[in-house]
Amino acid sequence: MRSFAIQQKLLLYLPAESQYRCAVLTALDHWFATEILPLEGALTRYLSRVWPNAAEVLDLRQDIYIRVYESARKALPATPKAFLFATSRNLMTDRIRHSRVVSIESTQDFESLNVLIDEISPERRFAAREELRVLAQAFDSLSDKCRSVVWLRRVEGLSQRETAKRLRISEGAVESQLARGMVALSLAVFGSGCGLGMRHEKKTSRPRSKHE
Amino acid sequence: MNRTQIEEAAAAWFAKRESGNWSAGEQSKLEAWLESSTSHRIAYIRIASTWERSGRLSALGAGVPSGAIPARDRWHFQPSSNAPTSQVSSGPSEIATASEHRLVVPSLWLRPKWSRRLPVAAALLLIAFAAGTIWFLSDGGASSYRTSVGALATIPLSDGSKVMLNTGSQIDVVLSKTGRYVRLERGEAFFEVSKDPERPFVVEIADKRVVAVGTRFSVRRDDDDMRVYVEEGRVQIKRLGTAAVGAETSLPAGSEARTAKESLLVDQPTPDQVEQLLSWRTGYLKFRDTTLADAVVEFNRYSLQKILIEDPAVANIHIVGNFRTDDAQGFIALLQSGFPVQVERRGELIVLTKR
Repeated sequence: MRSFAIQQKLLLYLPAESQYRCAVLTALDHWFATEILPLEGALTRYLSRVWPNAAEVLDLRQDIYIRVYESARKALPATPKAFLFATSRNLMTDRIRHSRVVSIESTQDFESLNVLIDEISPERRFAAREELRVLAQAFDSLSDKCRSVVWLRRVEGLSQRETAKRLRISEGAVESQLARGMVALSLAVFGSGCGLGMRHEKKTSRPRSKHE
Repeated sequence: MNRTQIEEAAAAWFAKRESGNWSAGEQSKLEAWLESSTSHRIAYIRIASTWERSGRLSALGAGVPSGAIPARDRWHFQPSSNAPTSQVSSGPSEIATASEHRLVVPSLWLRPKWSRRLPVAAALLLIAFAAGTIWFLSDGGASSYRTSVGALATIPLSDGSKVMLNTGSQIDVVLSKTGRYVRLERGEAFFEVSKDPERPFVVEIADKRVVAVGTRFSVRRDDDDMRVYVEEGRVQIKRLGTAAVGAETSLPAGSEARTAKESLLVDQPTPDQVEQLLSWRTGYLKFRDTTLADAVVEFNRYSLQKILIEDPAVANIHIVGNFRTDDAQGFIALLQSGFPVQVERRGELIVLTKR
């Protein structure tokens, strides 16, 4: 028998209410948001430059993200930027190995990697005003309704209900416009839209699938 | 789902979560959706950080009456003459021109036709200089710290907090503008958190979170369970997951919480027990009427040479004493001389049986 005397023992089953809005994001998610996502513009441009098929770049980027995230689950890389680009190179090498048509040009280009890593460092110190400018521009490109919703919800801090009342639209419309606005702004904020026809892609919005 | 659909679904989840009509059921559905694929999680992180950053739009609100939507293009930015939107970058100089518009600062800025040839660093430095401030995305960045078996380390964090890591432990630390996050991968740590109500200090152990604003507490991880002792202040304990969504317990100073799967045990340890809980920080193990089985578990954390008890009668011997964490040999010698215990070395193992 354990001799560990327990005073005032209290067995609590955790209650299943309160604080629904508790954080969903983990430390790893925050790491990803602060260390990897800001490099998105540079990564996208790099991939566009070295990958022969421009249509595959965004899918390639997604696979790189997944690989980086999965590795960081085990341990956070000490130098995220170098790690991101090394992962990119490995993934591209893997893909080329598995594809039949090998572009000599693309394999050579991977070697210019080290130069690129040094070049992108100013990205991290993007001036506050520059980021604001990009944001303002993307904000202005939203539709009237979407723009109003984003302003009232994000800047004025109105609730969904108040926003719906103010704009005389349904709460559901506020919710879906906010979602649309965030997708559009995310392209601008992370600098991923540059030169890849993303601006067109986001406008041909697909029928919305409900949370699947 | 393809990439675009995932992105839209993530945004729909995010908007739903912010809508004010959010239930426990939806929270667990969201968590399940996030767990089901890393691509879902990444899309969600992207949208959540976009929301975070779009707060900067409020800087544009100056002069706009509350409740009014500002007119388009009222910001003082001007499009550049040659916006290369349709082309794919082909060289380093493109990075400077990749954004279509430039900030207009007449006294400092250069003629438009130069812009495409400017070296990257120079261009970006100019922008930074013109804007006057440099904005860092993360404050302090992210790092992993680990201790080997038998080691003890004190780590000062850039926010002023201090972490003491016990034997065989690992933490990942992420300090951002909105929060301070520590993932306790394994082992045990004592946290002295500097006060910052704007940036809660969150320690993660599997699906559990310990949230502090400014306090002193220790956390020990055993598999996916944890043991938290609060020395000063107060912490919140939360658990994510489908069974008890968003559940939260507040733990005051002087109390200890232990989880065992779904349940949480809250305890008020005696001063003696507190000493046992925290003595590792001084390099000592304190036993007060502790069974040999428990003592051996403790010693084994500090040494690669493990002790094994093969006899239940030996396991139930109660002991009292202070031992250095790195002195398992002395502990064994003491057992041999004072108790009916036989010690046998089998390779890397030290086996205890009844004499």
